Amino acid sequence: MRFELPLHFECDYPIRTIPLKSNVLCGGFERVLPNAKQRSESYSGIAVVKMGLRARLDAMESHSTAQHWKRQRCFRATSGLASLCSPDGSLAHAPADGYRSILENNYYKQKESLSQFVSSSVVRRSALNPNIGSNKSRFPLDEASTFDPLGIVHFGSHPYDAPASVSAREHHLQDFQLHNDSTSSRMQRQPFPSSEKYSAAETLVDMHGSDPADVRSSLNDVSAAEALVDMHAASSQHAMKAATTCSISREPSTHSGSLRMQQVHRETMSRETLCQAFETSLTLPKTVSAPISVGGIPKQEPLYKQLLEKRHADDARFKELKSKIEVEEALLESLRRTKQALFECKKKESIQLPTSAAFTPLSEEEEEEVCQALNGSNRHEVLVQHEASNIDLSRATLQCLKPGAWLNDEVINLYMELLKERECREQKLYLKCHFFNTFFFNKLYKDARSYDYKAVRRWTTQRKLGYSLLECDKIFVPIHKDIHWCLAVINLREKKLQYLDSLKGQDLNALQALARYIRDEAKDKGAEVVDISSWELDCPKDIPEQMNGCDCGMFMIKYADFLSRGEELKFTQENMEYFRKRTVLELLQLKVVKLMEGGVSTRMLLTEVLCGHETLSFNGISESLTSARVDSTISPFIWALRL
Amino acid sequence: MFTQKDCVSAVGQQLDMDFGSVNNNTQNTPTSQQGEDEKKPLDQHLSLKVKGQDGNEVFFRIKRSTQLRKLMNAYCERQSVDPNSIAFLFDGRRLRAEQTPAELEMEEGDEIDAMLHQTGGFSP
Repeated sequence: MRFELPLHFECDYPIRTIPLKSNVLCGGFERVLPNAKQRSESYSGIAVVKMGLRARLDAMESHSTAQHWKRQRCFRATSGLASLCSPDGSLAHAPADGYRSILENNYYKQKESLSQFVSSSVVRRSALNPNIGSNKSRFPLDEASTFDPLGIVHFGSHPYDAPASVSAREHHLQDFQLHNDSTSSRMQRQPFPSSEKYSAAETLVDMHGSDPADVRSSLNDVSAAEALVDMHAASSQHAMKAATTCSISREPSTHSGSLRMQQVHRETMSRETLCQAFETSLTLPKTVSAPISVGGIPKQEPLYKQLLEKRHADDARFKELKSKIEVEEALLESLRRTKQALFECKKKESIQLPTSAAFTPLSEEEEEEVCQALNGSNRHEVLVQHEASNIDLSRATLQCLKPGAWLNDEVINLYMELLKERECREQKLYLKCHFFNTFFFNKLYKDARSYDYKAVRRWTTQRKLGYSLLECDKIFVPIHKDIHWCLAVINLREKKLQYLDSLKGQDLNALQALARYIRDEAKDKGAEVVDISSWELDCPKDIPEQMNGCDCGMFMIKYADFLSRGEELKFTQENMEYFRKRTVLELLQLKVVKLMEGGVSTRMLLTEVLCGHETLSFNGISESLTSARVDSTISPFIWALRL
Repeated sequence: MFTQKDCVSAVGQQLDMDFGSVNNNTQNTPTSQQGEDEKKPLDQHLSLKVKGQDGNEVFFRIKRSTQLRKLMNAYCERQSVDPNSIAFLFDGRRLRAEQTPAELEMEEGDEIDAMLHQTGGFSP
């Protein structure tokens, strides 16, 4: 495909056809002497050539996009230099402010974008009027001007620009001067010959100066120097003219123009760095730029500045937020530390509690017995036979009391039986209690998923129990929650129901079912009617807490143990290892004995003394204790001391 | 499907014990009371109901002097469960395999609870 864009200019001028890699030929630029109407086009043509290879890519892009063209047209209409020649040949109607702002920018900074625009305008115009060209002459581009995305890299190899090809450049200069002559001859009658001339001069400079290194060499060239002089003159004239135009021409439809100018201005600024090298290498006389820089700073801030300011404002806000976040985080950290400290404090307290009510240590023989029971070889050996409850414990069953193992119902039920036996043995010492087995609550409530009194109605007959359930002070109901043991305590004396969960869970439904059970039991067994509506349902949280994943059964039986003695729950997770051993012993002996009031775990005590706990009042004897072998005979002594 | 009455009348005399029907009705039926009244003076057999935790009931007819082990094993076999995993309760008390209905003063239609052993240590 070949896409030719003929442009016509009056005088001969280098015409470049730009071959693309894709064989699309873009920009068959031709030159035709403009009549009055076409002057702007001729100017554009000059600009195209002036632009040189650098704008090739942009030109091709813009040629393919109408939008780009429009933007460039705006630029052209409003930019300081080109706008002097509007497409219809009349005076530029760029707004005064916008125009001035453009002028303030060094025109060299604008040159590149201007050139791009012009090239695209030419492309478009020629596309619109493909048949214009009648008197055209072609100057095909040399083979070096193959497609170059950057437009500059291969620039030096261009015959018009490379220092080596001086003759070509001279030829070009001649063309240019010819053009200058023809335009200057029209200066008297044409409105803006200076701009044309200037443009021509600029073209020359640009062609030479696109490569800064090349510019200097070009400056040595006489013709180039002349061209520069021409250009200076032209630009001076142009500046004068522009100043006057700027003061004269104020047209109503300038608002959009000024807006576009802003856009153009931004584009220009973006090319600032690129053009700076060129600017410095040219070393234009200051006098030239002086008249251009007349005028103030544009009143309306360009968009990029606004955006920048906004960005700065945002940054400030972010900084503020960041500092806020830091403050909050510091606060959170301090709160965490406080919480940790409180937790530690609480833990310490809870650890100190049991030491004030220490427990009878196992003797060596007892330890041995427990060890034997738990670690014997025959798993099926029946170690415990409890006639009254018909519960037999094999070694395998008893091994659930090994540290870390989960308690099973057999052990718990037997322990409950033993607690009841203990109470019967010494009724004066203990509260009157009833201990349900672990299946009771299943039958009453859990299995059927609803309250079912009939299922347990016969469990508590006077004949079976030997006493009336409702005579008891407390009724203990183990609750099996699939894999967890809890204890419900019905305190008939205080008309209170408690749900003790070592993991601090709560189950008010269970308590309500039990309350209902008490009511139905009273009704069924012919006792006086119990009004349960006023009873307190409580799930206390200030109870010894399970800290692992296996001891809830131990906690449960110890809740029952302590509460059936009417004691406070003064034990912790730390005691569970001891309790497990002790429970094994008690089961083996089929006897739950009350903890000796004066009994002190010597090991515990010794540890405590060695650790220097201040709660103990007998620190004075700690030294003798540490050295002496502490046995059970010393325990009462220590206890006495403590009291 | 046998009904309770069928079971009693058909095979009750010959066997020490036999399987009854599975009855999902958890309520005591009036027929059991009638059966109790009729059978009690006549023979040494009585019907017992074993109720699982899922609510299923299995009826057994057993001689009063027969050890409950027979009933327990039959139940476990029928339910395909390990006898060691089940605890049998009569009015909330554990049953020992060597015990007999007569010893426990069981009566016609009495209910035995078959409970799975429980274990626990932790709540997720």
